[in-house]
Amino acid sequence: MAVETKVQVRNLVKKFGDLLVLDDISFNVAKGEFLCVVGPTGCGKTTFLNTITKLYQPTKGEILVNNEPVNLKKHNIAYIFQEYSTMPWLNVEQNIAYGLKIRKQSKEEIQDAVEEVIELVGLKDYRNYYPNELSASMLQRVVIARAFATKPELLLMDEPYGQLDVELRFKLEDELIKLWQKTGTTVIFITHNIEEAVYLSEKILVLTNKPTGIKSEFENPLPRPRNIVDKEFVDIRNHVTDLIKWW
Amino acid sequence: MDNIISCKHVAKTFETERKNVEVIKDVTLEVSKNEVVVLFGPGQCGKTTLLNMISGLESRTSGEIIVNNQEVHEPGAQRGVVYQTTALFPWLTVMGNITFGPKMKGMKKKQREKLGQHYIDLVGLTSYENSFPIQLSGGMKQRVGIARAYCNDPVVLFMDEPFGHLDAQTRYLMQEELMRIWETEKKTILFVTNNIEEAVYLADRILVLTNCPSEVKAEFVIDLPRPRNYVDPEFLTLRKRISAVVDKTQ
Repeated sequence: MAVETKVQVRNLVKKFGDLLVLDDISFNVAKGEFLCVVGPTGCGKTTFLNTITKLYQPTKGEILVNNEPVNLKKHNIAYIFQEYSTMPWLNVEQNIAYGLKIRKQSKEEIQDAVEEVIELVGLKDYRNYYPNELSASMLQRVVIARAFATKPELLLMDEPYGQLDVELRFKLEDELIKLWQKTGTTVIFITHNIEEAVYLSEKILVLTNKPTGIKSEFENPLPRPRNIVDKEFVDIRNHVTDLIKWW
Repeated sequence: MDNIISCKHVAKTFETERKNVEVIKDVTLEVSKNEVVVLFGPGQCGKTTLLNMISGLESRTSGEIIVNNQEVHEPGAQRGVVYQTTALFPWLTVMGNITFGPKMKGMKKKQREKLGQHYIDLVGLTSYENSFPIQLSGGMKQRVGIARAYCNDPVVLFMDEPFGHLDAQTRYLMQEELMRIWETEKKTILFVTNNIEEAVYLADRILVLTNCPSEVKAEFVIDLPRPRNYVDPEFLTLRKRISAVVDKTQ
C-alpha cells in the first residue's frame, strides 16, 4: 500500500545575511506520521520549523503540503511554541475556541469541538478559569487543546515541554500520543531531549551542527506503550546520542 | 559526629493578612560532610523554601537548623548559594564575579586573583577571565556561579535548580562537570531539582518531599558507582522506582 505523503521539503536553504543556517535539507513526512526532530544545541532547529511555517521566507528550496506549496490560508497548520501562548484575557473555553472562531465556524460546531478536546486534556472543570489562575502544565494543555480543536492536518511543536516538571512531562507526552492516535494528525515535534524523541516518535530526523543538514533519518519501530527501561528503547536512545553528542 | 547540616522539626508558615499558608510541615534531616543530598519533589512543593531556610535566606516558623555546629539565623559566607537564574553581577567580569566574596572579606588583589584563577581553571573557563556575563552562554554563566560559590570556600554549597533553565543537552554536560569539580574538590552539597534523572545522576542520597505542606516522604540511598551512566539498567530502574513514589505523593 502506498503511503500518502503529507509534507515534502525540497532542497531547503536559509541564510541570515551571510550566515548559512539551513544547508540543503530534503525529507518527506507521511500522512499521520509522528516525526521528531533532534539535533545538537544551537543547530537551527527552530529556524527550521519557522521556515516550514513561512514565519521566515526560505532563501531557496520549497515546501509542499499535499503536493502544493505550503499556504497558511489553505492548509490547516497549527503551531505550538515553547512558551505558553494562551491569551490572558480569555478563559480556558474561549482560548480553545479561538481558532475556530476566527475560521467563522458555527456556534454548534465550535461547541462540539471544544467539548471534545476539553474532555481529552482533562480541563473540563476549569473551563471558566483564566490563564493567570492555572499552572504551567495546565496552560500548555490549553494550548494543545486549542491546536487540536481546529483539527489541523499538520501540527508543529517546538519543544513544548522543555520548561516543565519531569513528572508532568511524562503525563503530557502520554496525553499527546492519545490525541495523535485519535485524530490521525501529522506531527512534527522538535526537541533537545533524546529520551522524549524516542518515546514519542514514529520517525526520527537527526540534524547536524550549523550549517544544518540531515545527519540521519530512520524509523522508530518500538511498539506502544513504550518503556524507557527496555533494552530496545535504550539502544535507540544510545544510537541517537552517539549521532549528536557534543558534550 | 560529622554532620554538617542538622535540621530538627523545621516548619514554615507564610503569614499574610488574608490567610496563612503552611509550606513546610515538619522536616527533620541530616547531611554529613562531603555528601551530595538532593531534595526532590513536585513543582511548588516547598523545596526552595526549605533550602532557603537552611542557607539562612529565609526565617523559619519553628524547629532547629544547625550548620557546622552553629544555629542558622541569617545568611553567611559559610553557606554558598548557586541560583537557578545565576544572579551574576552584570557589571563585573568573570574574574570580578568569582573573586567578589574574597574581595568583600578584604583579601588582597594579587592573592584573590590567584585564588580566582584556580577556580576559573577548575570550572573550565580559562581564557574567559575578562568576559562579561552578557557575553557568556547559559552553561558558562552557571560555571561562573559555581566557581563564585567555591571561591568563598563555603562549608556547604546550596544549589537551587541551577541547571533548570538549560536545554537537555547542556544540562547533561553541566551535570558531568559538576561531578568532575566535586570529585576534584569535595564539598557538602544540598541540591534542589525536579528532574529525576539529574537527581539519580548526582546524589548520594535523595530525599523525596511531599506536596505542600511538605514532609520528607521517602529516602533513597544511591550507591551506584560514579561516573554514572544515564542508560544503565540499574539507573533507569531506580529512576522509575523513585518516580512512582513521587506520583503517589501528588
